[in-house]
Amino acid sequence: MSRAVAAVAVGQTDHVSRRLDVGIPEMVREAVDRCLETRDLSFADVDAIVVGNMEMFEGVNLVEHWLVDALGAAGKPVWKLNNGGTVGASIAIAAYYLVASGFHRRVLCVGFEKQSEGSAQSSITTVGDPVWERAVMAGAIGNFAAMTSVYVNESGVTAEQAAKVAVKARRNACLNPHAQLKMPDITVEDVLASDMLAYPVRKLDFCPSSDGACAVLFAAEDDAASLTAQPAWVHAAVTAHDQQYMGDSPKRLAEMRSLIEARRKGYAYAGIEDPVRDFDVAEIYEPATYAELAMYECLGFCEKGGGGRFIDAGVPELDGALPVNPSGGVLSANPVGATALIRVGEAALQVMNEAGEHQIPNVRTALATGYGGNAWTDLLILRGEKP
Amino acid sequence: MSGAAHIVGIAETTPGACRDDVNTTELVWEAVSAALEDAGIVLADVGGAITASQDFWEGRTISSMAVNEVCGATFKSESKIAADGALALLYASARIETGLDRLMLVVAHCKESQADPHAVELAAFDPYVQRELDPDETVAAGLQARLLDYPVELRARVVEAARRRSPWLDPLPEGAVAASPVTASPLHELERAPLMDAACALVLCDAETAARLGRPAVRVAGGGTATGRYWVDRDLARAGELRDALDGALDHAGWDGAPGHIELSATFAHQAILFGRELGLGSSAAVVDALEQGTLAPTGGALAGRPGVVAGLSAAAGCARTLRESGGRALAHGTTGLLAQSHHFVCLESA
Repeated sequence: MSRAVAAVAVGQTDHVSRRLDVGIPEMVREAVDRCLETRDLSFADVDAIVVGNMEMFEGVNLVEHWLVDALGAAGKPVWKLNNGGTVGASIAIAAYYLVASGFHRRVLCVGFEKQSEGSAQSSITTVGDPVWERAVMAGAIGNFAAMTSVYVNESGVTAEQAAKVAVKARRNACLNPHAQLKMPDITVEDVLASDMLAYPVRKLDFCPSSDGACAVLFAAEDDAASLTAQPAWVHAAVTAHDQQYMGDSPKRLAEMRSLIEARRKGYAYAGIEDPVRDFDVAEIYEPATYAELAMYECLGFCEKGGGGRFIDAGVPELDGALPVNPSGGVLSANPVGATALIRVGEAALQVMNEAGEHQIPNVRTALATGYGGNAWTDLLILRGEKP
Repeated sequence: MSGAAHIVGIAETTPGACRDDVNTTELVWEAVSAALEDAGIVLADVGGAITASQDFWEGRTISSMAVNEVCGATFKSESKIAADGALALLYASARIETGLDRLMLVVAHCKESQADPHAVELAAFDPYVQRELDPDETVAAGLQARLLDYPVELRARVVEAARRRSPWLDPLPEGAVAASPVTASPLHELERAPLMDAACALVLCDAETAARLGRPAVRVAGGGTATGRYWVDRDLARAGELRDALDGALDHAGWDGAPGHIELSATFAHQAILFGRELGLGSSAAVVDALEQGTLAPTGGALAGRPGVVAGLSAAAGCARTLRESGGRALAHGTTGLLAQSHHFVCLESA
């Protein structure tokens, strides 16, 4: 049966738009080393590796095999998952299950993407059904614009309210040494004046393209406490999918059915009744400003249609009742295969009180989500207390 | 491992060189619907799915997009293992072990006919220094076969044995392998597993659910997987990672040694001999004898016409069918990557 599992160490690269100084293996090794060094560990201390990325982004098939030395994986079990934007959280969930089941004792999760070495746009276009969707599904931005239009119409959120999410993210990012887009002086007016990508989404409403990697070490209950004084214990690890065709989930952002379902299951597992009260911090996968507003609603942070008012009230700010994405979030760095794992890692750092300048005081319970594919959701809840 | 995961439904599509009568979703549904029927359940009973496929072979980023609905994962969990289906079975078994998942589908699928094999395989080579040479897996396998230096007569017997066991490929006349064109010296075209379209689905559940369903069940007693170094950094005349994976699997299952029934999977004839030798079955000739007698790889494995991603799960399906009827223990084997950089073993026993 299940044994308790905790995240015990986190390492990240400093995410940027182009890492010209390293190749993919060197970039991955950097995150792995940073993770293991925090606990004075080496490759020999890791039992298995779970790795994920978007293979077509860089155009490397079976990339985990090419990276075997960078991962410290030679001779060890390697589990490769590939689930789109959620993959970083999916590998964290896989690590959780592999440790919880007793299959492995210590599992190193590694997510990465070096988008500068490939073409994310052309790869994302192949997500759609080759017969029915591909010709009209031109990557992430147009897809989000269509979803956002529906959400704006349903909820009445304004461009100004969305812009506040961008301002919050890029200012928070200034406190995070790993974030890419640090904009201490950004204003709502700057966001509203930025280039229109696809109505109503503007350039500063959207996440960047990044090179980066993240590594998180998970350990079993009898081991975690020997690695850190404050493990981040996993209390829920849930995945929920929506239907594959966009036309089958027409409201998308306005009613993120997979997120609502993951929330229902995850909150039940962890005993979350009032998320604003029960969570001390949230790291959510918000590819665009409007998505974060919609996620506030679907995660039950506020009432349906209340996402705009939620940020107007300052609840998700660093000093608010429920800080959301103190790291700067996806809007400040998006190495896709690592992005959801960064959310898990940042949530773990908050619980472990190791988040540095963007540490929220007294974090006991943290939420992390992943988002990808056709509106799929991964959701993890981490706590300071062992389950 | 406690052996909580039970296989209660087994189905495979009939592989074809080009299943252009179905798309990927339909191909997978063919296997899933038959597995559900075998288990005596309906799609709504499924609590989640672990699938296995490769984006490059499917030509689609997030290749599981095509199948998660027909795997019952709408508003439920689905995760895609980008490796051989045997690894997906191990992940699903781990999830059942925790008690958090109770009934899952494990599905592996590939339509190799829709891909450009050379382009897919080229993409697995180091993009900075090797791709300019325009290699593919057959080229690398040719180098490996040259190192191993097994006579072509021996390699041909491996292929002929596999083809005799294939329900869907014609037997090969004597001399056909050596007479087929040389693809990468010393390899001949027929020494490589043919490109195929296929899907395999297993229904996996906990002991309580298995008892409730009242179907003949096979337990997943344990498993192991190990990955070796990149193809240019290891001794291609050995397969030490196979031994690592096997040792891990036996230890995980608490078994003293490997059972007599091993469903071996190899993409090339010479690899079947190499793997058999690493399993400790004796000389090259002894391994080929075992393959011919059907004590090793009784279904013929990948060489009998199973796509790479599906072969390991299909091996588990073959073991499970046999165990249902005759009881005992069996080992299912799968591989992933250039020249089988990863090996996976699943330990199965009658419940």
